Amino acid sequence: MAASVIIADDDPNIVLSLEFLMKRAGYEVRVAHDGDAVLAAVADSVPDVVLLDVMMPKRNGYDVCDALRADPACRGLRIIMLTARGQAVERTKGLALGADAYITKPFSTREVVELVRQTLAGRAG
Amino acid sequence: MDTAARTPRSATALLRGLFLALLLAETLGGGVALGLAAPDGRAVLAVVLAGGLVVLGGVFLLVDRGFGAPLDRLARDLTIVARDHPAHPLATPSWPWLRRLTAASHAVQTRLCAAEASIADQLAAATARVEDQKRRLETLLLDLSEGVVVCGLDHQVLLYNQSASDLLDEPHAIGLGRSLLAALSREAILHHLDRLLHRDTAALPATEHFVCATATAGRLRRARMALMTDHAGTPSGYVLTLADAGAEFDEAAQGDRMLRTAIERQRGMLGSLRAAAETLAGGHDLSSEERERFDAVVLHETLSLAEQNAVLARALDESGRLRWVMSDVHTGDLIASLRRRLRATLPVEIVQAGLPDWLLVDSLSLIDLLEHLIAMLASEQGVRSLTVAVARNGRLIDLDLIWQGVPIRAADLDRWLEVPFAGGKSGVDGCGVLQRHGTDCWSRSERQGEALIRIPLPAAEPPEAVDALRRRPPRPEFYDFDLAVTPASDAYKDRPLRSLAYVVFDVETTGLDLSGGDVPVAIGAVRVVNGRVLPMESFERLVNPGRAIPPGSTRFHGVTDAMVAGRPPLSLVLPQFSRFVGETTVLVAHNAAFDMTALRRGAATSGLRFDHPVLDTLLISASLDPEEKDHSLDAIATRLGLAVTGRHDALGDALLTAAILVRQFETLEARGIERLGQLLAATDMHGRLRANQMQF
Repeated sequence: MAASVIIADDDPNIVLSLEFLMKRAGYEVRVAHDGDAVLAAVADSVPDVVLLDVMMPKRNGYDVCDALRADPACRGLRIIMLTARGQAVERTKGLALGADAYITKPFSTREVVELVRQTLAGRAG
Repeated sequence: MDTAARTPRSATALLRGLFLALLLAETLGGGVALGLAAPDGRAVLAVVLAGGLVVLGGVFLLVDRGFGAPLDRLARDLTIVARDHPAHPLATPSWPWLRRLTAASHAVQTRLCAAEASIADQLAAATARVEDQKRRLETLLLDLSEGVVVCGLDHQVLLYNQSASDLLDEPHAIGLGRSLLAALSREAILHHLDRLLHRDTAALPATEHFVCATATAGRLRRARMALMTDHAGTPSGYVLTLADAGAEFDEAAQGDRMLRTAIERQRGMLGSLRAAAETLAGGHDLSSEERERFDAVVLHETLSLAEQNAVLARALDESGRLRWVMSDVHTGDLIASLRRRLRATLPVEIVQAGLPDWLLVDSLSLIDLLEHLIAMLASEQGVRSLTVAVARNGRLIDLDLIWQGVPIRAADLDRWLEVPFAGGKSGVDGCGVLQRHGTDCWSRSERQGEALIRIPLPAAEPPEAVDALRRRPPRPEFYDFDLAVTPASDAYKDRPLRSLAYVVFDVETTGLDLSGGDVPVAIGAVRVVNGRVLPMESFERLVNPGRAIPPGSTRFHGVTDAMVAGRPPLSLVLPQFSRFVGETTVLVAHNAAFDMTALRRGAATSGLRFDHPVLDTLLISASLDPEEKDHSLDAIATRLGLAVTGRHDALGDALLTAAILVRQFETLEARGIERLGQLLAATDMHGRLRANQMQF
């Protein structure tokens, strides 16, 4: 069965490319445009990976990450944070709140696909 | 009565004495002559003698009145001229022989009067000039909104203005001849003066900019310090200007936010653009509809980027006045200031932990933020006591608020950061303060039952001068392997390392030959409890060794004879240290064989005992990193990424040793050495090994 990915970003332009690439890579893709929508989508069905933007309406990526990590139903879930914030402190914060990986915009499309693949492989391992 | 007045009187007296002698001689001679003379000639002789006596008396009266008395008078007059009143009239003698002397005296008097008048004129002019300059300086100082304080190198206040007084805690906080250290943060003043005094002219600026707290209320002041020098160029004091650090931040906050937002937006646009372009160029099999949508993204993001570029260009024009003035702030000062502020508003106890360090921050808004977070912790979590810990993490310093309880949810912490500060003076909310420092904060649990809020903050660059002070030769290594084997060790050997209380100490001595009579000149110590350094619980004493400190030893520790003059002897300091150490404590030192020997030799004569278990950070380091050759304090600190910017004195070294010990606990635990007994065994073994190696 194909691994499932939720793309959580309020910018439709980046979602367009990520959705295309994830589908091309063979993943089952769902999209959420704000923090509450991510939590609702996860509650509906826990995916394998969430590509999580930090700056989102209603609930930011850190809050979503913190909430997901506090939810025992999401134990196997992998979280990759995507953000336009480039500072080391923000990366440290993301990882401290339980993200598995952190990637800064603008990123290479190949890099993000590879990161998702590795993250899933890491979980499998 | 002075000599000038006595001398002429003596001359007159001599004259009178001479006449009296002549009179007596004539009387006696006449008497004898009368006795020897023939009876018929006696009458004639008597008449002659009587006539002679009368003539002699007349001459005496004439000389005394015409010569002796006027000389006396002249002497008295000249004395008055010289001593009290230059224009005092000189009496004119009637005898012509004395008139030349009188004329000469008059001439001297005239010149004296002219010289005095000239000096008085010059003095009056100079006084007027000084008064004028003083008035201008006073007007200038009064007019300055900045406080100005001039101090000697001993920190005694020589001059200050009203603004300086207003900026301190109370009207009488500062005064001429009093120490500035009683009015402002001692640590900050000493640190920055030290930097100025030891600066390498090329490497460091001629003025120091920093933020310091007032001594009692802990109000923060932006300060600028410059050295004053005497005519030979030797530093003689310093000028400190002070300004309120409160009201200048809103504009800068807004500018900072705008720039940061612009950059983040650009990253987002570039992200979309790059992803779309790579997809288009990636040789994917796209439908015409898909291709059209990607083309639209490329066009839209390109236009957005152009617009954003214009925003940034406008922001750049204003950036000159938007930059923050960050200052070096000592973490001890910051936490002390926070504690003072909390004392007035919240019943929360603060414990300081970690090796004190220097932050490059806007301390006023940072304290507002910390106070706000603590207030929220108190009201929403019921926190009544917490630890404020600092730890160096590369170019950042992690500032942690630690309490017993559970971490704060990210959403709650965000909410706290958006609540405007209640009593804060910096006019921004928590998000603004974090943005100002280019940082963020989060809450998590690092130990069982304990939660923290971590705020990484920029560290100040290590001051080169202070760094140079530390570059002193390390002490040779000493080994005493019986140290660790004490009866008390057995009682603790099964206890986890972190559960024990430690006193980490350093002893500086007159020399290295302890058996040959070298004795302590300084003892510094700090407590480590629950695996945390507690810098507020420290011990620092200079000791009068009762003998000269050789220059070679001063080179090691910087303690001079002048510094220990008037300090108590070891016999008084050691009982104080013993009370500080207590009983249920593990003693720790770097190269402990030396420090313990110095301590125990002194203790033996005072009837004290230091038979606590002993740990040696040098031996621990040698056992953890056998590959490394250099296990000096500075080398280990550098390897562990600890700041070695502190003072190289007994307390400075004890603090650094304590920070090393805490870091060593982490490594030891990771290697399965969790209990004191295991550690003692491991260090003992490796110590013997190294000692044996050094014999060959």
